[in-house]
Amino acid sequence: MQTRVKEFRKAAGLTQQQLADQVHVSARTIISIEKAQYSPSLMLAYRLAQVFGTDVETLCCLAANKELEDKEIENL
Amino acid sequence: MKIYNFKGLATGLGLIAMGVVLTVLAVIKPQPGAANLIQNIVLIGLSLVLGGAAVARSLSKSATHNQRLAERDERQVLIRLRANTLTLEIVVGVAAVVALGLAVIDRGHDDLIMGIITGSLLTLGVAFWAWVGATAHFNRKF
Repeated sequence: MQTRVKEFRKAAGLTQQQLADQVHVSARTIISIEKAQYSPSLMLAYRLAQVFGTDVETLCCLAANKELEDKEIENL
Repeated sequence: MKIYNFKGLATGLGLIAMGVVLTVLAVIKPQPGAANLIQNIVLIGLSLVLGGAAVARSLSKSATHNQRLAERDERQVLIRLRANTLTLEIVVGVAAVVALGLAVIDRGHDDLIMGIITGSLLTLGVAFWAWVGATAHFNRKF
């Protein structure tokens, strides 16, 4: 799932490790989220959104990702 | 001195004990050959170093805290779950193929006990390497 974590993190001037420490996960998890290899859990997404002062829908591009998923399901 | 991680301490002491036992065995019953000597040195060294590190970590509040945080990391939990499931599938598949093959070829052990021991060791070996492969695979995937 594509997210805007990298964009918000850079805007906040945080390193991946600093962000990981704030949301209690490993830096490897943040890297995987930014590469869209791993989708954060609801709680993690909420924590990330709180760090950046935004909401989960904006941070995780939920509307766009939902459209992509709907298309994938149609093509199954 | 306070113990923050009993499981880690037990693991560390177990590894150190294994290193000591290997050392005693190497002294009492030395095996000839440079290859055996090198193997013993590596195994003893690894056991003592890893055991010592595990004991030190178990006595450190910050190290234990970091280790527990790392174990809770949701990506790591997912990788562990997926790797364990894939390992089980591989082991069951291999065991089924081997059992079928043996039945077809009719080369089963006459000695039941030896057959059980051999089968168990083979299953453990397959399980270990399947788990290593599965963990590496999901570490790359996620």
